[in-house]
This record gives sequence, structure tokens and C-alpha cells, in this order.
Amino acid sequence: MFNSFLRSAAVILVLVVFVAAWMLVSQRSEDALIVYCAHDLIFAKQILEDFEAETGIKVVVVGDTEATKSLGLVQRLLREMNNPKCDVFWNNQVLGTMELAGAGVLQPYKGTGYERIPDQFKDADGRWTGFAGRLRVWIINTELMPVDETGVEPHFASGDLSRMAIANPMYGTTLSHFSLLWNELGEEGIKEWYEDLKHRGCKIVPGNATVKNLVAKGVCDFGWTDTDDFFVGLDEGALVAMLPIRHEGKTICLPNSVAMIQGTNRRDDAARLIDYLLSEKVELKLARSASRQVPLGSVDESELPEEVKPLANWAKESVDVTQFADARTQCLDWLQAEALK
Amino acid sequence: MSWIEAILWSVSRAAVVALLGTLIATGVLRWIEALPPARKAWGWCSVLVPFFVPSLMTGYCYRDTSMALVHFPWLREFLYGLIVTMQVVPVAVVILAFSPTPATSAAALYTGRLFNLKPSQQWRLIVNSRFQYHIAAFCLLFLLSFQEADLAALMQASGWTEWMFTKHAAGLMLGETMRLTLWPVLIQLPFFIPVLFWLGKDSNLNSNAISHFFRSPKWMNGAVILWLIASILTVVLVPGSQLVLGIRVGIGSLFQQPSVPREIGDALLIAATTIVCAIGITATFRWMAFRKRGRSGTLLMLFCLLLPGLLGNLALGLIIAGIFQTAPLQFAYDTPLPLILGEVGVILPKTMILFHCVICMGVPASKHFISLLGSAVGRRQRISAAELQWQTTGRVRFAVVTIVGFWAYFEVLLPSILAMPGLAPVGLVLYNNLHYGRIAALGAKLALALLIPFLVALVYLLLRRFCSRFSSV
Repeated sequence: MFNSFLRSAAVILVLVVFVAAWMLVSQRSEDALIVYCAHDLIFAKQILEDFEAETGIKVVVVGDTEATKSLGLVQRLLREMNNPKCDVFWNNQVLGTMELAGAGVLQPYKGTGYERIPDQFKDADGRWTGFAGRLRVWIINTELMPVDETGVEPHFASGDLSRMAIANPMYGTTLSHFSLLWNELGEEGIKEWYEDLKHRGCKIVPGNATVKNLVAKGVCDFGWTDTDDFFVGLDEGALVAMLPIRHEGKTICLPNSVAMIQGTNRRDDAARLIDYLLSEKVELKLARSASRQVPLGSVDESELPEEVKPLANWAKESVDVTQFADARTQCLDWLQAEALK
Repeated sequence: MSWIEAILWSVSRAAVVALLGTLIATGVLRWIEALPPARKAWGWCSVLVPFFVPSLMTGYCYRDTSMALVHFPWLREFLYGLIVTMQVVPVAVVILAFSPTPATSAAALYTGRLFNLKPSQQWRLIVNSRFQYHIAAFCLLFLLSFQEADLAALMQASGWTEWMFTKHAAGLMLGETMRLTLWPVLIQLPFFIPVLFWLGKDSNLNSNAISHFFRSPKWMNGAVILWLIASILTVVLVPGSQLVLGIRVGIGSLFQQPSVPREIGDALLIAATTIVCAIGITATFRWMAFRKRGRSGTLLMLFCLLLPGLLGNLALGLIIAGIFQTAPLQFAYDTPLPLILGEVGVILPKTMILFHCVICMGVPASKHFISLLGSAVGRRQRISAAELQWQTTGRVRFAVVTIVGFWAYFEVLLPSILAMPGLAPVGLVLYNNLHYGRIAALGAKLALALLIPFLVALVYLLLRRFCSRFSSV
């Protein structure tokens, strides 16, 4: 009798503990600003923690799930459109954000941060604003190839690209890059170009970090990646160098973007976070971080790390990324059909 | 690769893995059975340990190797297939070792052959012999290999799971996800049925069972030992050594991450909840099935309980996410419910298999006496009974709970789809970081994450020992 009472008590106790624990976890987001963040959390978390410490506004971050690609945050926000959970979206690029703006997921906000960003990197209606960019670059193994444009271009034009790697163009900044090419070459042109690229043996690998790893280890001689991945390789001591990828003389600078979600009930806090992320201080922090993001607004240049200064100049020569938003969906549809055929 | 090609590729790979795995497992079991009793425990440890290495650890080790094989894609597929085979062979060994005594004994089979029975009668004898467990083992290995998605994603191995990832790049509606999942489920059904029959078998403990003893030729024993060494080296020691190197590199960054304890706490909470639900359902099922219902009712109930597991964790996660986005269930979308449902759906089949094996290990003859001793008036007797119960059945049950918890603790795909805002278990965070390619900084965190379940188990064991000593004083 006593034993069965003890057992029942133990079961009830366990249930109470579980319910209490789950309630505690649920409460984490109750009075918090929910931020969906596609930027690499290794770098983003520190910024958001600083914001929390400075403002006292609690932030809960939902990171992008690189593991499940499609279930990326853009798709999640589209799914949640009628039942929004997120307050602020920090995307690590801009085309996905533009798609959300087109779908009516974002609401306009033009704060102090908006004003300091050049027009070329923000939405005219204020539905999103770009900041802290990355450049698309050639990454070159310095032991295997000369590091100048006269060295890279002939290799790229040669019949054998089996020692070159690019990230899967269905995702991330490579998709943005391909959308630009879609605009530049047209539908038929890019299809022919991509077919030719694969025909010449170019390796398509999962991500820009993998491109960096392959080039750093000498498995490939060169490839396309982003500046943040390049710097990770450089910091690890790899013998790599970079050159900006240019199209018709222009570089490709892909900014982070931040936006307020339509239907948020924490508008004031969301606005404070957006202004914070778009501030000079945060752009400088990101420039000094391991990812060396390029400030897009005006900053005190003496505060910039040496290796970011040339990037800042290249960013000024960038194409207007807002011009190829429409190409993204068509390009993605084609790439998906291409990958699955 | 088209959808059909991706499925066919997965089917072919799974069939090869299952066939090889079952053959190897047969040899391994014979080797274990021939070991002297004192060495059996070590033998079992060496066989089982590769199965418990999480895909995060093997992925951490072999992701870069796999990427470096970019010029030799067939080698990458081979490496992936080899690792999967090494990790699933222990499952087949366990199935073969811990199954109920078959209706047809080896002697009956031999007699049947002497009587020159009709092929159909001969076949019926064979199907009711130990051969049915080889079929069950083959089918289970097929299912495990066919559904494997975590390591495939990290190593970029081709197959239906990777195809589905890609298909979701532009987003899919719930109906389309379900339509796509239908084919893999249909393909798995014929392989699921023998496993279902195996699970639905009453353990029917036969204390008079005659155990078979085959003495394997020396070359086979040598091959088995080589296989075990290769498995432990490939799946345990090489990833383990990388981890140790990673600890040295990443130990500094570990202390700069204040979120680590919370991430570990989240993973433990998910694991504990899954343990309670999965083991509760399994125990309730066994109680209901073998007392209240006939065999067909048992099988039907089993089928319903295990069907969600056939979807695989990716498809199951997507479907649950879709269902909880529909109007009637939207209120529960950002609660723990979708994640718990998904975790239980995926872990339940494994728990049931584990339970079945444990029951087939046999109930000690002393069980009844221990229960009598436990209800004795004297306190000392009751304490002795509790200790005896631990020695005879408690340890095994504890192992089951630990293993189920370990699986749930390291499940990564479901939390990535279904976790509510604010919930970020350590496995998921590590998995995402692996995809970002931040390998160097991960070693220490992964080592800590791996250590925690063992520490929790150790604390429990120490507490139990302390309580048992304290109460016997």
C-alpha cells in the first residue's frame, strides 16, 4: 500500500518537474523580442547579447538551420505569415528578404539607422535595410596559382575547371550571385554558361565554407566564396589569397539585411534593435569580428581594421543588388529543376 | 539525379548494407558465442560501441574527408556506405542474439531434410526456424540504412533524403511533402512487416531452449576480429582522436559561450521527456498487447505506433510542422508539443526493439523469489531484495533508459524543424555549426556534449550505490 503510494507520488513528482521545466523554457520567449537570424550565429550572438545588455530588452534568437536548408528562415517566415512568431528578421543576404517584402511579410520602418545606409542597399519603402556586407571573391591557393586577375581569368576560361569549386548555387550568397548572372546573361545564357561550367569539371560543393576548405587544403586550386569564409581560412593559417569577383567591372557586395515583421506586437523594441543593428557601432563591431563584414554606412575609417579598408573601397564599386530580386525566384526554380532532373 | 533515381540509389545502397551487415552479424554472433564467459562482456562491448557513436561525431570527423574526395565521388559513397554498415551491424547482432526460441529447431530442420519434404513444406520449416530472425535483421538494417539522413547530409551522400532537402529549397506545401514521402514509405513497408512480426512475437521464454553452438572456422573468426577492429578504428577511435585534438583547439572558445549550459539543459530536457513518453508507451503497449488482445490486434496496434517512424525524421518533422500550421492546431505551434510528438515518433520504434531484445534476454528464474523477498517484513530483507532486483533486472532497464535518452539527446533534424523559439539543444547547435564548416572551434563543445549523458548516468549510479549502502547500514 505504502509502496504504491510512493510510486504514484514519484510519478506525479516527475510529471510536475517536466511540466515546470517546459514552462520555464516556454517563458524564455514570452516577454522577449524574437529574432530570426540567418547570419552565422557565432558572430551574431555577441552583437545581440550586447544589445540585450545595453537596452535591457530580452532577445530570443532562432538561428537558421543550415542543416535543413529549405527550412531556412525565409521559408519559415512565409509559412508563419498568418500567424507570425518573429519580430525582427536579420538575414545574412538580401534577396530572400526582398522576396518576403514582396509577399507582404515585412512592415516598413525608417529609423535613424535607415538614414545612414546608401540607397543602393535599402528598400525605398523601408521594408528592409542592408548593412555590413560581404564581397564575392575568388579564393586562391597561393602555392598552386598566381594571385592576380591575369592568373585567375585564363584558368577560368580554360577547358579544364576540375580544380575549381563553387558552392551549390541554390543557397545563400551563391544564389544571389547566380541571380545577378541571370540578369546579366539572360535565361538561356546562364543555362548554357552553367552547363559549360559543369562540363568543364567545376566542382559544386555544399557551401562557401567548403569551397574555402578545399582550396585551403589544396584539393582545389581556386574557387568562389565570400570574404567572411576567406578570412576564416586566412586566420587558420591557410595559404590563401583573394580577389574580388567582378562583372562588367563591378564587384558584388551582398549586405546583411534587417526587417520588421508585419504583425509584430513589439514594434518599439523591434525598432530599437533595427536601429542598433544599423548603427555605426555595430557595423564597426562586425568589421572587427572574425568575419570582417564591410560597413556600408559612413564610419570612422581610422577605426577599421587594415584588411577591411580595401574591402570598403571594393564595396563602393558594387553592383546594385536590389536590381536582381525578380531574377531570384526564376533562377531558384531553374536551379532546383536542374539539381533534381 | 531524379526522384526515382535517388530512391533507387538509396534502395540499392540499403540493400547492399543490409545484406553485408546481416552476413557479418552472423559471423560476429558466432564469434561472441564461442568466447569464454569471462570475455563475453568485452566481446559485446566491442561489437556494440560503434552503434552508439552519434552521427554528429562521425560527421565531425569525416565531413572534411568526404569533401576532400570531391574528385572521387564514388569513393565518398563507398566511405559513407562503409560507415553506415559499421554502425548498423551491431543491431543485427542484437536481433540475432536476443530473439525468442523459434518454433522450428535446427534438429527439426535436419529431420525435415531427411524426410524429403515438399519444397513448400520445407520452406515453411525454414521460415519458422532461426532464419526468420536473419530476415528480420536484414529488414531492420535495410530500414535503418534507407532512412539515414544526418550523416548523409554532412557527407553529401546521394539518396532520397538529400533529394528531399534540395526539393525543399523553394518551399513545399504540406500536401506535396506527404505525396513525396509516400514512395519511401511504400518501399519500406515490405521490409517493415518482418520486423513487425518479430516485434509482435511473444517472447515466450523457453527455459528449456537448446542453444546452438557453431564453431566457426579460424579464418572466419579472423575476419570477424578484423572487421571489429576496423569498425572501432573507423567509427570510434579516429573520430575520438579528432575530438581530443579538437578539445585542445576549442577549449578557449568553450568558456566564451555562456549559452552552452542552457543548450545542454535543453537537450537533456528533450531526452528526459522522450524517455518518459517512449518507454511509457512501450510498456503500456506490451502490457495491453499481450494481455488483452489477440495476435492480429497486437500487430495492428504495433503498425499504428511504428508507422510514423517509417517516414524518417526529416519527412516526419515537415509533416508535423505543416499539421501544426493548420488552423485547428495553430495554437500549439510554438509549444513543445510538435517536437515531443516528433521525437517520440522517431524514437519509439527503436525503443520497442530494445525492449523486445531485453525481454528476450530472459527473466531470471529468481524474479519471483526476489519479489517475495521484497514484500518481507524485515527491513534488511527488503533492502537485499532491492539490491538483487537491481543486479538482475534493474541494470538492464537502466541501460535501456540511458540508450533511449542518448538517442533523443543527439537527435538533430527534428529540433531544427520543430523547436519553438528559445529552445536550442546542443546537438542542433553543433550540427548547424558543422554545416557552416566551423570545424576547429567545435571539438571541445562536442566533447562536452558527449560527456554529459555519461556524467548523468554516472551520477545516477553513484547516487544509487550511496543510497543502497546508506540504507543497509
